[in-house]
Amino acid sequence: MDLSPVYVSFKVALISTFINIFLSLACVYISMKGRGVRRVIDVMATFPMVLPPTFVGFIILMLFGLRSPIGSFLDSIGIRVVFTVLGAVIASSVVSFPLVYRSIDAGFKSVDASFIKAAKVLGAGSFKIFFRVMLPLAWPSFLSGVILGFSRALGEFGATLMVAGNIPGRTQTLPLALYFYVEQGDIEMAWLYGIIIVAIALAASLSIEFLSDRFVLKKENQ
Amino acid sequence: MRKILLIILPFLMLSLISGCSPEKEEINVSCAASLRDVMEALITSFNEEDSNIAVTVNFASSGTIMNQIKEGAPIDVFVSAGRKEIDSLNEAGLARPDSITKIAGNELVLIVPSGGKKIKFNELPGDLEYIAIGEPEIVPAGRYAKEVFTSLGIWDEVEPRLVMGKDVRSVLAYVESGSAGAGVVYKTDAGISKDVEISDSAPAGSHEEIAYYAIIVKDSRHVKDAEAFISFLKSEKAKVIFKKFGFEV
Repeated sequence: MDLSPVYVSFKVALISTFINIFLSLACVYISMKGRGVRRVIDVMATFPMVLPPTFVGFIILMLFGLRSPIGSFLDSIGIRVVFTVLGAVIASSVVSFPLVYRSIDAGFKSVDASFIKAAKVLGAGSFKIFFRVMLPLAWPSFLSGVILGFSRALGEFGATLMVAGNIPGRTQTLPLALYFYVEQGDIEMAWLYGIIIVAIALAASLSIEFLSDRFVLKKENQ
Repeated sequence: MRKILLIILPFLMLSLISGCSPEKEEINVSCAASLRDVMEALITSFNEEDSNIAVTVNFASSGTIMNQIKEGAPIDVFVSAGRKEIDSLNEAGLARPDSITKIAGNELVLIVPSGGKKIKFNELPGDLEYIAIGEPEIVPAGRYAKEVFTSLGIWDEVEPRLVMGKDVRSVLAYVESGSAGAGVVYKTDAGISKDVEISDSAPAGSHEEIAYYAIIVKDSRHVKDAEAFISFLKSEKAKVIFKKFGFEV
């Protein structure tokens, strides 16, 4: 059995999760600057979730294809997006970003304002409050956002097929391999890959449960 | 009362979808993706002659349709771009054996984005990063492409550079957008696009004969209408349309 789709999927999902963590934290930080900024970021962050992934893929293709100014510029400095792992990473980052951002944002919003006030009174700057006070308090939402985003990135199909194509061993992810095995009528292989995906999904949702349980218990014990 | 309504409502919604039964006789035709444009023209012409049969058409790779038929999809007529899919259905007892009809032929070509450097099957440049073909297991054009590369003895060298499309039209799209530097499609696919150029034709005898076959699926409940449609595909009127789109008849 060819395990390269598992490897490619993990690589793509891991990298896009890291990108999304940094992007989300940055967006949450910026959105605290004011109500107007927050509206704009909220709308933009929800967009990839409400659009069909095929349309997201199409837009990425239009932006980064060789016929576009951005795509041809990147190509001239040796960066290809279409048909590469980079393309798969961009596609799954964009599609899974809303889940990560929403979750982390909700965690930061729920932080008790008195802690922030106290930190301010004690002379902490906004950057320090963000990372040393709010982030630890928002930790459960942060983790569940990361796991949700990772799982969504792992399962990304529509945009990935359009941008990264189906290159066995290079850009063929688990969902793509599964799709092509079903199309070929190879039910056994489809089941095998399906079981791998179920195992990963199960592990992800169990770890969300486990982590949230742990934090709830901790809080109750305090 | 409200609770009952809440339970009934979803079923009412469902009946909205399933309720609209067609007045006319309707046949479901599933065709190889390479037939997209010509089949639309053919159906228009067929309905000018016989407006009592409504033709619903669907396009996918021949291998995909074959598997859908094996899984029991309600398809009446299947037009395949290869003999293998037809034989496989026939062996499985899913085709009406007397219905197998050869309707047209095609040629395999190597295409490049318009204005690109002309290349040949047996002289593929080393800096050509991506070559698009159909997934050989489900796309006949991909299978023929694999046969060509294998008979030229360069399959091993070409394989790591392949991008596999889900049907022949997605291969065309990959080359049209310049994402892939070259691709293998039918001559008729290359003919419908302004953004690609034919760079080379497959060497004679390097692949199995490319022919389109129509069959009636065993479980079809509209055999008469399906027969009428297939005999239209063999008519002189249909031949003119096939020729117009570059097919061989």
